[in-house]
Amino acid sequence: MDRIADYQFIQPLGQGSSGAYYLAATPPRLGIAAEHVAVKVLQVAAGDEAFHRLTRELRTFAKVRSAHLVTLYDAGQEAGQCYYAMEYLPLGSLAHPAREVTRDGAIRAVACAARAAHDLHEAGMAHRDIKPANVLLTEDGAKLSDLGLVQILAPGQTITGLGAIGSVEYLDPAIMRGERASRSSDIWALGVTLHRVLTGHGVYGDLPDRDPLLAVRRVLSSPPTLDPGLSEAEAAIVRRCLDPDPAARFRTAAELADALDALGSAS
Amino acid sequence: MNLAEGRLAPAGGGDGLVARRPGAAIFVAARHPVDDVNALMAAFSAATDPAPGHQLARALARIVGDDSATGLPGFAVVAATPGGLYVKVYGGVEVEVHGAEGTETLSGVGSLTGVDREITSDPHTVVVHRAGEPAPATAFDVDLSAGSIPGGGFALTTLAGPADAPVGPAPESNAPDAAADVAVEPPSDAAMGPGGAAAVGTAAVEAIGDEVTDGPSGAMADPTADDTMGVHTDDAMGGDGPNVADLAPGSSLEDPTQAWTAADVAAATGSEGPGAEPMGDAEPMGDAAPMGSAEPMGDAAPMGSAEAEGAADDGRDVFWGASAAGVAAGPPPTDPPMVDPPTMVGPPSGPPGLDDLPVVGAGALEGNVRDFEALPVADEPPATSEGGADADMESMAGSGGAMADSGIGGSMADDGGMSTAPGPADAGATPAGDDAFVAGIVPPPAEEISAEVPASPPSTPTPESAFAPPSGFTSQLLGALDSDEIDERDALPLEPEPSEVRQADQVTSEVMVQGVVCSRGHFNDPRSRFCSSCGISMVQNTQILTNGPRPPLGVMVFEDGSTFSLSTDYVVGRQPEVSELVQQGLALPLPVDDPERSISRAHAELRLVDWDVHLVNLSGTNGSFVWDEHAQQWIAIPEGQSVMLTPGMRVALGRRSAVFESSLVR
Repeated sequence: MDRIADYQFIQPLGQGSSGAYYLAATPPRLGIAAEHVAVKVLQVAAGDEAFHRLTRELRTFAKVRSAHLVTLYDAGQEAGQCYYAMEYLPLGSLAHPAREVTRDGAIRAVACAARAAHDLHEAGMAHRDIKPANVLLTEDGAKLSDLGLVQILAPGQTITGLGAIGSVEYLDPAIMRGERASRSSDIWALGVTLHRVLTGHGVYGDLPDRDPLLAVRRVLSSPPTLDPGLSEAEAAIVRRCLDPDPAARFRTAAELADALDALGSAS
Repeated sequence: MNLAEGRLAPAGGGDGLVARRPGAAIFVAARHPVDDVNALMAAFSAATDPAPGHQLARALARIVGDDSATGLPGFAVVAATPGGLYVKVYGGVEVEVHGAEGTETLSGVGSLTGVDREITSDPHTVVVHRAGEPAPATAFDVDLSAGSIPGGGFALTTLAGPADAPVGPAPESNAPDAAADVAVEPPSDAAMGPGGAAAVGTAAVEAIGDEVTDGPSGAMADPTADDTMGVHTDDAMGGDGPNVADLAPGSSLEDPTQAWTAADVAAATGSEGPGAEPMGDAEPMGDAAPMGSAEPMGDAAPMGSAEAEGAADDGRDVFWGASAAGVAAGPPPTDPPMVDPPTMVGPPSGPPGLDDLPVVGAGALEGNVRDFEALPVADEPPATSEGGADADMESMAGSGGAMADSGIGGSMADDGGMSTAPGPADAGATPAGDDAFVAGIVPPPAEEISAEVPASPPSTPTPESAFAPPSGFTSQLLGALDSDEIDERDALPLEPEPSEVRQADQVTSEVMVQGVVCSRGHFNDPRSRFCSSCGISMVQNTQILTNGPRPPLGVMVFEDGSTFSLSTDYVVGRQPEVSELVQQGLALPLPVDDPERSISRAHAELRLVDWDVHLVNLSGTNGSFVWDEHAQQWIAIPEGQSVMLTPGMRVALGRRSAVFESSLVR
């Protein structure tokens, strides 16, 4: 596709779990200076109700004041397809950085994402889809992008079946089972994200890309294991994020961010 | 060619649209943009002339010439004219015209306003498909006589049988397979009981009958053909059923892939190519008489010719045949990949135990089905002579639903923050106008309408909820929202109550069940040995039952990875909104589909009872199955009955499969 609404697409930016991202020229009606915006076009055909829930969720997200959340500009739909437009950050994500990310840079980026998650939590929202691809890099850190929307668009569903199956490894198994999202489920995802960016490996080994059934089964049935490449301090943080008892994890994402900052300054 | 007498076989591929009226047929390669598709369909249904070629030529020229139609999808129209046949093709679509003098191809590719022609050479077959895609097979016992249906193209022919049909698609799957595939089914059907066996018998006889059609015995329609069929069908069932059951069902069940290939459906509907070879094979079949006796074959022969009788009859035969094949095609759908990936690769060789059946060597099956696009067949065998029409209705309803889905937007108009951006917010393209597009061609009977109404979104669009106008969209700026605006939420709890930790996300109706509480306060299935929230052992605990809200009982993971939380009941199907349970809010819809329509609209129900999940089969046609790990075979669930799922159990619905995963009991 080459456009939606009044967004003329310049190039595709990739595929997410519920839709595709495009780089688009900024329509004048947004009244913003940036030349480009990122537009996500949702693949799921949404009915009235789902669209209503979607815009409500996005409005709530947009109202959260946070230095570490990507700014949303506009949400809408055309001919049955929903989209939303947000700030475009050209440096890429932790999953696909535009330039090499140092270990300290990676830790700083996850800390920023944790602060963003905390700001969301304080506003009453859980993110539900924290993963390296949603941690967008900036010159001095990172911003957390997007939201897990699957349960908004299709109540009861917890994984869309779109996008890379690998993203199931970041999901707190509780969320996969359909339990209530919470601070602790986002903290879980931040822990897996940290593990992935520091070691290059997931906490379930390499999940079989071609076999979603097996991937989901492994996430649900096997405990996460930590890569020996982590330093003791790093491992301690990841382990605490992944504690099976949610009450034993960091109490808030801000506490996790503080721990990460301390780690960064210590090294 | 007399277009009105031609037989139109829609091709698979659900994202286009095929419509037919007596003097014309249209294929639109996409269903978006809605307004352009609407314009095309409106022009098509407005051309009511018995030979509407000229009328359509003018109307289509206007649409193509209209500046606002910037995203006009590719399309092709074939329409009768007083002196021949009018063909118009636009965009990425091609039309092959087959006649006595050879084949001519018209392509819309590379032309800015499309290509059109009046053809006076009296062709016998016209095939329409997307450029770059294989031409759909000509079929002789499928006929969309009126109405619209999702599809990827169509083949329209006035030929009575395959003998002199264009050779194009034949290599993909040839007629011998028809006999082979269908005959191979019975064992895998054994689990389905007598009903399944009956269907197999019918399918086999029909398929053979079709082949014999163009042999020497392919005489005129015999009025008793149907009766004869019936009798021998019974024979086939009676004589064959028990034997079939003896034929090591387990072993044949291990190779379900073949039974579910698209070619089976196609084979049983007789859409195959040249018929010279099949004849030779069909005869031995009669001699060996495994299906009852040799006579049924001979007698069944008129079946094929009977198709010439008329569309209604045809429709019945066709859809019955097709759906019988669907059933025959058997219970075990494609193996879920995790279990036995190799079976995904291609049709397996013939199951052991069937060697004495005089079927065509199973080797002939290999590799010939992969690229075949299934014909969209109706799900259920129509019981009455309106069968064909029924099927049309259903497809129409399908498109109707799809269109209705696109008609969102409107309800947002009452949301303060919404604005309707650039395009005119006129009600010109109202939902009613859209209905006209889908339903205008053949108005469904009243009862059908009432049956379909629930398919539309639950909240009825308000009058101002117009379709998005051309180049129109609704939008809501999110840049400068007041923080004290609507929907202020409380911060997430710092330490959720242990009893609430496992609660389902966003499920409105809370079900209370009896359970036990771990030492940290998490609520669990009384059978659990470890807490499913924190993993602590509960073996030492005194088992005191307490009431609590039921947590999600696990997930259903489909083979594409899509996952659903079992926190509530679901109706699974192609259009689960038609289910009363969904309409009454007692179950969530879990929409699944496959291009071959092996899934019924409401196919199965996932019902939570206390701490257990039950799968209830609602489909009488393609059935619901569970994999019996112990017996290593698929077990069919009789319609209306249920099976309790155990963690790790595989289930099959039509051709889709899923696994029930749960960590609740460990």
